[in-house]
Amino acid sequence: MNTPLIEAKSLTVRYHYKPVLWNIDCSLSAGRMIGIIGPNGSGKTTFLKTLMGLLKPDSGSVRLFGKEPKQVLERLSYVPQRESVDWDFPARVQDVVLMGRYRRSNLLGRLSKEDRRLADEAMDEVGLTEFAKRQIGELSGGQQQRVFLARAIARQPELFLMDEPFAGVDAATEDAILRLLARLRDKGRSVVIVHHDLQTAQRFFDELVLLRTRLIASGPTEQVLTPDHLDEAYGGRLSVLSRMGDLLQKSQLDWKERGINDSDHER
Amino acid sequence: MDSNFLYVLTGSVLLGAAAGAVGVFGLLRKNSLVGETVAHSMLPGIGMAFLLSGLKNSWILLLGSVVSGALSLVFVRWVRRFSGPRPDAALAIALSGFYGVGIVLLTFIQNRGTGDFSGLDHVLFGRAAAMVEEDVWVFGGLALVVLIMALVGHRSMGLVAFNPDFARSIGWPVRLYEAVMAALGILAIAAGIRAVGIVLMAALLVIPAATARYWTHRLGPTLVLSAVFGALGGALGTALSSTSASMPTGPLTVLSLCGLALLGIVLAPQRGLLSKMLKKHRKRLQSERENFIKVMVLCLEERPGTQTVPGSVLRKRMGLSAREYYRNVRRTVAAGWILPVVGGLKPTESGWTEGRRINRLHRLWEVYLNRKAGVPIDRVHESAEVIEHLLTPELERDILAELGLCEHYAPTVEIHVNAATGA
Repeated sequence: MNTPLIEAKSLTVRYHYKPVLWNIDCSLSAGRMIGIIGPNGSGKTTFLKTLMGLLKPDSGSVRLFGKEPKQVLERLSYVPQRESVDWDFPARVQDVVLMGRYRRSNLLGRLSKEDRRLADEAMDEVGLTEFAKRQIGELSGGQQQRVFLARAIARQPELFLMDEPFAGVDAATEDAILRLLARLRDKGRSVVIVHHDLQTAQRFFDELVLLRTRLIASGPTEQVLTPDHLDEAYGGRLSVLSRMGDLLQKSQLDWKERGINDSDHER
Repeated sequence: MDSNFLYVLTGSVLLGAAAGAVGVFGLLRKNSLVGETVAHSMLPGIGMAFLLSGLKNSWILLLGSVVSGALSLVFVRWVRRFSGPRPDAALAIALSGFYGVGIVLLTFIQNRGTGDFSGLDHVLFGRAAAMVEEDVWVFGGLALVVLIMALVGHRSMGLVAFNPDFARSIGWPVRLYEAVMAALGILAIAAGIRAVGIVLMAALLVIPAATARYWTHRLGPTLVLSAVFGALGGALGTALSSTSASMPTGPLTVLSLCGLALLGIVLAPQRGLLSKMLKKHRKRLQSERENFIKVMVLCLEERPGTQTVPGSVLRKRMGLSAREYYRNVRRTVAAGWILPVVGGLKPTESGWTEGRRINRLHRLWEVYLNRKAGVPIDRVHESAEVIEHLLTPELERDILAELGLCEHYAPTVEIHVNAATGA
């Protein structure tokens, strides 16, 4: 019936010649809370970044809302890992939240009254109104995470892509984020979250994508979290795949051979 | 004041302001070292421009420095592709390599002994006074353009500097802005080395920006202040170097900038040393007051029915000298917590509240340490003496929640007392 929210076809992404994602096929539908899980270095963040076109696939393809990621950036919001930025940056909470209102059509970042209103609403929604004028470096980890969340909300997207939003936050912030996400989902928004904690994954998400460089499983949470799948994802043995990856890194061979291309999507 | 001096001064102010503003982006993107590299890499360009043209024309020298500055960045990118995750190695190679070539060229020109060489030697340490009217128009004008572009685009470039991945995710032309920032940097440096010279150019990029961060925590004001500090440094350096014929401008500018930085480090609100010391002092006074009222309320709670505490009892219990005691009394009275009455001291309404609050926090922390952190009962008292002055209402709430206690829970006795008496 309707186009899937996210569709990956034989997606391979490499970093310094080493495949980080290997031949991923999956299809996810809208209006869900979707978790991307897997052990460290299993390609979770790479997957998220490829979804919105921040990284280019070496082969295969990704579709968001049935289109090229670059064409639908207006419809999504990205929440990066909290540690990925320097919080000593000279900016107040509201300055960062307002970044969510920047548009490509407005390259100097001028802001309208409407932009400011939406930013205020977003801060209110995550309980940061009283911190609006604070320097971002003065905030606690949980509050900083909520700043990123507010910035994403201010964009009013249909799809949220979040990288480890629960890492290093207190229980109160975790609950606040979860309540907010559930509310967004009830409004028909979709949420994709990179998550590392298996314990809470079951509780948080409707659907899971379990990665370990390749796709182990994807689908409804209870079908993904089976002992077999988890053993495959977290089992200690070095797989042939990762040994091959190391070999490829050493050989520095280009991935795309003549005759192989990603024509799958040109149906 | 002669008119040439005014020209030179205007030039230095503009050059300093442009470098100060552009330096903010370098500092925020944590690549101040790139500015250092670009500045040093301009030397061969200047030498080549002079060799090829035989002229000391400002435009030609500018062109030479911009081209070789840009080339050094291309070179750095290229080296980084092979050296992998060692970005500083690429910078070091570019800096020393280009600079080395430049010195060779300069020496060659010098030994050739032909042409009007004077002025090129100022390239290393700067000689603002050597600027002629034309130089000021060219370099000052360029600096002004750079300054205006930095101010106009500060939001957009700020986004790219703060969080490039997010910027890309909203379709922001990150590459374009990175190129713009690099171009502004190269131009500001090419202009700035006229005043301070290649060797000390990095100071003009870094010090004003770092100083500005002491005074504000917003991007726009940081940029403006940094430009102002850069301009001040330029002006002071020029004025000082004009007092003697052989004084190079660069070192004097840098010294002026250091002076400004020192002012910021000492005087700035919140981040400055003075303000930090003041804050610490206030906190100490607060702790002292709180201790005084706390012990007083304790004494009264131990003898139900009494309303006043004799001064001698307090002094003995707290181990205070007479002087310390009267100082405490004075300050606590000033806070409105106690009243001196016949037969001793008496807490006011707010004094009672305050004393009870501190005691409560003290005991709460002891309970928390003992139950949640497993600290033996006879060891919990000392840290509680400090923590009682620091616990915020939010933390108090969290502690209560974690202990599974209701909001109005108030342990009545310090638990180490309990342990000691076996209660």
